[in-house]
Amino acid sequence: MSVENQSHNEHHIACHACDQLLHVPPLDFEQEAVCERCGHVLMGHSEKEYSRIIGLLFAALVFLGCALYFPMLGFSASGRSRGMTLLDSGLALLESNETVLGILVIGLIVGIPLLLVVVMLVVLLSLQFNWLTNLLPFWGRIFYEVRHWNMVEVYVLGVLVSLTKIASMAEIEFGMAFWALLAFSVCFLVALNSVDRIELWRLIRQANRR
Amino acid sequence: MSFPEGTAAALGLRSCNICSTLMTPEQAKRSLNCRMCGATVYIRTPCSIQKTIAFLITSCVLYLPANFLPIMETTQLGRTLQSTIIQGVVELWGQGSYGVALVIFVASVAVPILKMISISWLSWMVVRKKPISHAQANQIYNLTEFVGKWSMIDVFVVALLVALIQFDNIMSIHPGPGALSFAGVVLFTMLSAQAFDVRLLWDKERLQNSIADDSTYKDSISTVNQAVVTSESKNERR
Repeated sequence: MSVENQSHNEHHIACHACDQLLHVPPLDFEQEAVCERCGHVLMGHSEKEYSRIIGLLFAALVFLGCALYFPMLGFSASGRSRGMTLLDSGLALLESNETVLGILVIGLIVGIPLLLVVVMLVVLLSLQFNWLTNLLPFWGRIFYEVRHWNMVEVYVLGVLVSLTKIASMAEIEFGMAFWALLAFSVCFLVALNSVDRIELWRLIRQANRR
Repeated sequence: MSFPEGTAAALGLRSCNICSTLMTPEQAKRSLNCRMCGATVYIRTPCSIQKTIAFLITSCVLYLPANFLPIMETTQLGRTLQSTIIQGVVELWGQGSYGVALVIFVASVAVPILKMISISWLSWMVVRKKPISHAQANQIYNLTEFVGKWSMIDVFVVALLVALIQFDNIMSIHPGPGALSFAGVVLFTMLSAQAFDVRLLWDKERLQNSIADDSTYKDSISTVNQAVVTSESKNERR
């Protein structure tokens, strides 16, 4: 295959929703490319300063560390009190012999978000500093295969719902980890949504050619 | 096979679902793995509708135990109270937390049913021979994809309450058999939505026979239209 043909392919994208083949030019900041046939957003706004996202991701890692280490909620009723950490919500299920459910919960709220943050950091750092660029497609693929399964934001809402469920029964204390979890999900979701998929793969392709 | 004019498939091109790299017919003859990221690339997901329906049936079957078996068992002073999802909603409503009751009802009862209905409707649209209202179908698919994981909230609530409320004989909460089935419902409807290939919805107009060799493809690719680029900035839109 000729080099010319390869570069020809690069700006051609088949719309993910309707498979229309389109030419997508390089976009300026705050521009969006939309499919002419179905209106699907092909390329959205992407943060150009990846160092900013890297910073957010490091912050997210620190917050996740805090969320795992410190107690999240305290609950006291009739003179007895009990605290729980983030991992306890899965571990308690394991103790009640709900092994599958326990592993699932831990995977969805800690495992997958942690994997996504780490993989995204690796991708952006190696793009930034040109490290190990031949591994980039592998990391990128893991990132986009797993992305759907992150459920941190659902869990945060779950915490709020369960609080209203037990608020009438007893005193509830918020631990450090609750705030850390909130901060983590904000940093994580902002970082996750500020990288455009097609833009990222263009950069990976360029890095591999060098 | 025939595909609408102007689509990648009509030119014999395959687009990678992960990295959007295009694969020419010649490359596809050598290997179906994407030369960029290594994922297997198909023109359309093979047996997409069959897979979608299989996952959908699984989740429908699981939906029954998920709703009729208790999701949570509360033991209070020796008395054990089992509650299903609906009972939990009724209880919250009775306590006066209308907002939360509504959130749980929508997330755990309404959304799974609506998802199942919309996925089967979309599959029906693809299978039957008549044309489709695309815009509507697309919107329904996007909504289904977006809303999917929020049903998991009830499972997380159970997990949290089980971890937090363990005071031996005074009061303790254990997960019920319904919890695992409910998690299954959510996961299988998500898998079902992912197995559904949206491009199938758009495949029924202006059909053209697929091109199978590279020379014709090179001629046709020069006539590709440009994507619509919105130049309005965020500020203007506000």
